Amino acid sequence: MQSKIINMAERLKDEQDRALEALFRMQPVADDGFSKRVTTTLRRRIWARRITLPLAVFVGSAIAAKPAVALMGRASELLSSVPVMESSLPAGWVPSPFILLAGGMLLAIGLFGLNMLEE
Amino acid sequence: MSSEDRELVAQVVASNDTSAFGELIRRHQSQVRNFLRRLTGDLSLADDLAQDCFLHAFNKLSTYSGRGSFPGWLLKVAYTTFLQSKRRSKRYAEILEAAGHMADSQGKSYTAPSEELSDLDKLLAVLEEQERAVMIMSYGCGLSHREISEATDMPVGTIKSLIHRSKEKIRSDFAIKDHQHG
Repeated sequence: MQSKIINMAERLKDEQDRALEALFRMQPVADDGFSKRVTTTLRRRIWARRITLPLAVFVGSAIAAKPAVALMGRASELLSSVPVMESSLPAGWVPSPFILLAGGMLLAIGLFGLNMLEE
Repeated sequence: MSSEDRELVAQVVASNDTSAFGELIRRHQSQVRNFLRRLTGDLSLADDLAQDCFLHAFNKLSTYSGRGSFPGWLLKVAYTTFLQSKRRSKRYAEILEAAGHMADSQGKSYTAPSEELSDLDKLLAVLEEQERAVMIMSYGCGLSHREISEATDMPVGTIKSLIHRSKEKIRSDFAIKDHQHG
């Protein structure tokens, strides 16, 4: 009810209102390829956004691959020097430290990739 | 909001459909460009801002609740884009000034063409930026006070007083000019 009264009040226009409306009246602007230009820019931006992160991950992985392998080898050596309670565990139950590290890294990359795909 | 607008918005939000958004642009580009042209007085700047406005609108479309009118929401994005651009150019002018250069467009947001000023150009030049925006939204775009309030994030009472003040300014300024000429 109150909003109806407000709308009614807004509609009560005086002579100046009508003159202003006539003065401000806008001629329609022709599209002239504007919408096409905007959608093209939009598609380009979406494509760039989609490609940027995977590309960065790929380049980063390529750069980090060699040091990561070296690090895994070194970690594997260190882990193998730690005494394990072999007698209490069944044979073959514990995989080699190298496989454990590689599995962990694969899991992390996989989760990261899945998260990216969901986005 | 028209049902077609509503369907197109839903389509864009659901699947980032750029073709549906293209249709929304085609439907509303005229009003947005006209609004920015009147606000800036510069055709090419207005079109650049209109493009930025639609790109922002695409990213923010999910925040549109659908309660107000879609053109009103678009004009809000357009006005925000205009204010951001003005802030950026002001900062740029300050940097230039600090570096010892004179900025060409220092603090000017409305650059009405110097030759053959239309009645509307003269009228808009009298108003402050905020008043100009509110008057264009009201008389040029036909938005209600409530819609303008939502578009500018100002209370309805403030909108009403801005419109009243603008009308007073126009009345007094043009009366003074008529007196001087007469």
